[in-house]
Amino acid sequence: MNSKRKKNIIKEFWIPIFALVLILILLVVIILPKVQGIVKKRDELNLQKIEISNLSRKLGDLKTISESDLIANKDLLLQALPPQKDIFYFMDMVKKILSDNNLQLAKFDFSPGYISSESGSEPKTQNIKIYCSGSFENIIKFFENSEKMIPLMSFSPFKLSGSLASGSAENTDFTFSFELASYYLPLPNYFGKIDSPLPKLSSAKNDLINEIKNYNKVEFTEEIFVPGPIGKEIPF
Amino acid sequence: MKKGISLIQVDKGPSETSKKIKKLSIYSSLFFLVITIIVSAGTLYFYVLTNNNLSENTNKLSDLKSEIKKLEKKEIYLVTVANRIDSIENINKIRFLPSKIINETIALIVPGFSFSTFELSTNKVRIEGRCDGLASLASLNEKIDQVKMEKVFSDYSLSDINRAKNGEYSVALTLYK
Repeated sequence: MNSKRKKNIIKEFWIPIFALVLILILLVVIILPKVQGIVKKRDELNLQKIEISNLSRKLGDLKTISESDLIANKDLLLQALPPQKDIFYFMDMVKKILSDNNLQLAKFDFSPGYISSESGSEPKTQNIKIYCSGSFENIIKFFENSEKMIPLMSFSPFKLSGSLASGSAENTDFTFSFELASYYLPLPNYFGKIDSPLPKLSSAKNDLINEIKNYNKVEFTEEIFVPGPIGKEIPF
Repeated sequence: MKKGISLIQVDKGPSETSKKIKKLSIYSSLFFLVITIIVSAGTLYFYVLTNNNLSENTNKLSDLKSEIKKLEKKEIYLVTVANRIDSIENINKIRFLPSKIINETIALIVPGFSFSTFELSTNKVRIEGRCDGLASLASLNEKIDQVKMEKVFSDYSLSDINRAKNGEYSVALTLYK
């Protein structure tokens, strides 16, 4: 094919050739990149829609929760499970519960341990070993009352020695020793990000909060020794 | 007059078939070009639309975030409440509360029975005591059977039964939760 014939073909078919070139240009410059862009942005859009729906739900939930109830529950639960140990308060509290239940405290042992900032997600305990005595009836009362006190406490196994007979006048006081543990848990380092979902409180947990509302707290009539802040500060 | 034969090539122009091919190629190429332009325009339109939706959603998201930020304190309180109550639930599963088991055990004290030691652990109670006679030992045994039937305790053992000279019986009673 000589060049003259080529020129003739181009001359005769310039419109289809021009159209083909234009189609290719449009395809390469506009259609392919923009379609890829649309697919990518659609994915982003879907993620945004999910985020919007989650945040809208979260905002709705936050608006419906009563702030005063939350503050009351937060204060109550921080008393039930304090963020830091306070061995001096615990000691005074134990002395007060024992005396309120007419038990005689013989002695107690405790080790204050380290007073420092602590972290972790597992509850920790501060322990006091108590040696005391009292009537069986008062001992039961002591356990019943202590179990429904805040901060929450737990007892070690123990052995009572004394004498108790049904309807007898020969009943003597029982002596016993046990370890009393009071729980504490440092505050979480992380209080939730804006896009993280709100924690859900199941009805069982709400029931537990209501149960703790009925627990007692030792009230001191005289001023007790309260040391300065220990460890991490409460951010409220 | 004689007619001669001309040997010079005469240009007759394109044939009918090639004319048709030319026409067809022009129309079809223009058709595809128009289609491509429409598709390009449509693609651009959707691209712009998607971009607008994205920026609209970005604004919506930042509005939502700033609204949530205003309620940040509530969220902190809620996270604290959830954190405490989760841990309290776990503590309640492991903490040893003796009053219930003590009250269940003292239901066993029958007339004539007295005890001198009362040892309590998470799943076991051991009582050392004495019965002032066979009648109280029998009624203690009866009471234990009754309590066992009520499934307050899973098992029990009455051991170390010794009769003293004065007719009293020393007993060691172990109850299992």
